[in-house]
Amino acid sequence: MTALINGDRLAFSELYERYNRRLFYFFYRMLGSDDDVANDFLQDLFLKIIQKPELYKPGHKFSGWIFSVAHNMCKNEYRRREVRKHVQSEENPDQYAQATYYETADEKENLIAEVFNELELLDESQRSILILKYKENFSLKEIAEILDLPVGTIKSRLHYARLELSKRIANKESLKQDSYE
Amino acid sequence: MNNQIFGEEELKRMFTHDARGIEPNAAVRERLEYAYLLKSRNYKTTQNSFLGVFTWLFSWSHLPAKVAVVSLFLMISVINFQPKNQQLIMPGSDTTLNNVPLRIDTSGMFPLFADSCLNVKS
Repeated sequence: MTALINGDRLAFSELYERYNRRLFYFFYRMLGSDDDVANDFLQDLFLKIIQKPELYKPGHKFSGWIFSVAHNMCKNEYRRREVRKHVQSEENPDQYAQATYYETADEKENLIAEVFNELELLDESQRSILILKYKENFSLKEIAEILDLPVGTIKSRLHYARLELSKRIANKESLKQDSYE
Repeated sequence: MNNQIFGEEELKRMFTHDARGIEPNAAVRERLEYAYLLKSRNYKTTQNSFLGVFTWLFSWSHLPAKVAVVSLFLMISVINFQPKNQQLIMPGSDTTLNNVPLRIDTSGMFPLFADSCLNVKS
């Protein structure tokens, strides 16, 4: 970050190279699996770093800090969407159904696709905890710092998120079996 | 899928698998690099300077380490001291040339007709 502040272009390239895929995936899964939205958010985040690098406090772990910024951006987006939803007061009820069904030939692939479709229907905090824990491999303490929540809360939310996801998939499976019978 | 809860490893594998192929647009990078280029024009260029080194050197910080380094340097210097031959010559007076020190040369000291050769009355 110091090199970046001093105008080192290589430092910026390295920083982008290190984090662009991880953050893109985070935005992609947090904001409805939309490529364009994820690209916009990724760009906005790095523009923030370019414009105000002093926002980063050197004592903190950079990866934790950058994901906390990303998480706050997602929270603001949820709030904005909520406001818009109230204003428009009409929503396409098939929106999720259209987005969720994704058929693949392989059964395993199909299961994974279903899991991630269900993931999008989870609560925002549960979703972010699952991504930070199982995709980014952050520890519970680090996740607690990123989301600004106590470790105990993270632990219980993680448990319920896994449980909820498992239940949803199990229900889907049983529904499928019923329809076959 | 049973009613069992997803295992940690299973979830990790699924996330890794899911992340494949989900990549940002290359144009984002280009736009950001351009933005960075524009911004970096305003950054101050800092010259290399020894100020920091000297400030540290003459400060009280890490004093024991500094003392240890200097002591070590001095110790090595003392152990390695090997005088050259010239340094063994001790200063002293050469007595072969200077037998009688502070001798008054009286041959030139005959004022007022002291030279008896010129002062021949006869």
